[in-house]
This record gives sequence, structure tokens and C-alpha cells, in this order.
Amino acid sequence: MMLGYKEKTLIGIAVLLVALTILVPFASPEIDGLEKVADEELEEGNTWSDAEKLGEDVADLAPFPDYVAFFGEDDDLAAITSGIIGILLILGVFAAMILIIRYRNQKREQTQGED
Amino acid sequence: MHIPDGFLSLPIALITWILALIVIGYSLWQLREIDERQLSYMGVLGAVIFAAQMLNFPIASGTSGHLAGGALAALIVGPFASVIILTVVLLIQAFMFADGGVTVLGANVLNMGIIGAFVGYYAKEILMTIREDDIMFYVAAFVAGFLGLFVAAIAAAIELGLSGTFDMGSVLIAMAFYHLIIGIGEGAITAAVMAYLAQVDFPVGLPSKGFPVEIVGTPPRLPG
Repeated sequence: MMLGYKEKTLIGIAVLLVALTILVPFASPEIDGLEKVADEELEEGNTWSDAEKLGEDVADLAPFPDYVAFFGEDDDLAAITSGIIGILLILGVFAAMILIIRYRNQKREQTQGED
Repeated sequence: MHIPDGFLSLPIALITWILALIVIGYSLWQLREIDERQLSYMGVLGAVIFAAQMLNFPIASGTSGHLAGGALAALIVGPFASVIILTVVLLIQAFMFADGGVTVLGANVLNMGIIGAFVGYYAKEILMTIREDDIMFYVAAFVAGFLGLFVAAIAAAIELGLSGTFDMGSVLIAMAFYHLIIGIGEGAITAAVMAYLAQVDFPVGLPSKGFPVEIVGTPPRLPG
């Protein structure tokens, strides 16, 4: 049986969610390259002036900082839940784009029909 | 490599925002005739990159790295689609998970989205003009991933240096050192994903398969 792109897309999402659930507990808890550089620079006193701390307070606005959603910080479920929320939101954005394209194409066909 | 809020000066944040918005706008214009099938591939790619970015792999001395994915997406759907995919991923990360700052989102889109995508895409294009066979295809995919990430990290270092956040010389050396290692991981993952896609007959441009490539929009051709 040949699979269409919709089936392939759904299979891709299912595989992704399962893979994420299995792999998240094994992700390295160490800080990433840029954070490490920032830590080293701060230790050496190469810090910046207060005037340049642009938007530091904005960071507190995100609902699930550091991928901790609904469960405790040490609970793997917090990261897994965050992953699922993020994946669904991203798919939602692209689904919205698909609806916009579909609407535009319908409009085009209508105007062509009127001509 | 997500720059957090508070790490860039106002002028650098503004300049990177303007550059990012121009390229995002141009990319959307390039994608104006996109179809539903291509958009659904972009959505899945976005979800994959988001998930992969959560999976940090350990590198040297208490540091980790993760896939950035700009080059990977650019090799599969082209640099313009890659810019849009990474912009959506970075938006969700910044606004929902405080991963990368909101005020410096322009810089993060510029580094990981735009530089990662275009450096990776053209690195592969250049290498494939030298020799067009399957081995070169995988070498090119590795180099695309590596360079896409490494050049993005250097760009981030320059932005941090110009902002006066850190000393330019030391931040450049430190970012280059860690992202040289992370870049190898990025290159390996990029080549592995391309190998997998070629195996399942997804049109990624493997020379021996001869399928048309799924590039959306028309990236400028290399001279010559």
C-alpha cells in the first residue's frame, strides 16, 4: 500500500512522540556551550554593565521555563510534557498556515470561476 | 546556543531584529506558492527539530550540546523554508519555555535560523559541484551541519562581543572551542538523517537515486 503524505506525516509525529518520551530522560543535564562560555566569562569578571541588561525581566513571562511543565523540576515527566506541548504548538502553527493556503486557493478558484 | 535575555545591547538586538525580519519576510515571499504537502513536511521537520533540540548530548568538561537543525532543514526543504521552520521553533521556545530571550529573538533567528540554513545549504551546494556522487553527498551533509552550527556560534560570539557583554577575543575563542565539538555532533546527525531519508526514498537529492529535490522557493544559484 502506498502511503500518502498525510499518513506519512501522522506516522512521523507518532514516531517522534514515542522517541521523545524514551529519550528525554537520557538527555545530558549539563549546560550548553553558550551557557558554559557565559559562566566562564562571569567567573573571570568579564561582565557587562547594568545598563545593557536588556529585557532580563522578560524571561519570567514564559509559562514553562526550562521545559518544566506541570510536574516537579526533577521529574522526567515535566520535560516530556513540555516536549509534547511544544510539538503540538509547532504543528498547530503549520496547520494554521495550511488552512490559510487552502482558503487562499479557494478564493482564487472562485474569482477564476467568475471571470 | 540560544542567547538569553539580558545578554545583548539594545543596538545589537535592534540590528539583528531588523536583519532577521527582512530575511523572514523575503523567505515568506519565496514560499508564497507553497502547497499543503510541503507545509506538512515543514511542520513535521519543525517538530523534529524542536524535539531534537531538547536532547542535549554531553561534550567536554561539564558541557553539553544539541542539534540546531538549520542546515538539516535547509538540505531537505531549502534555506527559505528552513528559516521559517527555525523561526517558529525559536518563537515557541522563547515564549513558552524561556529558552532563548524574547528581546534577543532576532539574534537567535539570525544565528540558528538564517546563518545555519544558508551556510549549510551553500556548503553542500559547493561541495556537490566538486564531485557529484553518493559519498560526496554524505560528506557534504556532514560539512553542512558542522559549518552551519559553527558559523552560527561565531556570529553569536561576535554579537556578544559587540554588545560589550564579554570581551570579544575571549568569547570568540571559547565559543569556537565548544562549538567545534558540538558541530561534529551536528554534522553527524545531519548526515545520518539524510542517509535515513535517502534510504526510505524521500527526495533529498542523493545522486544515485536521481529524484527531484523537495526544495521550496528558488535560492540564488552559485556563480559559475
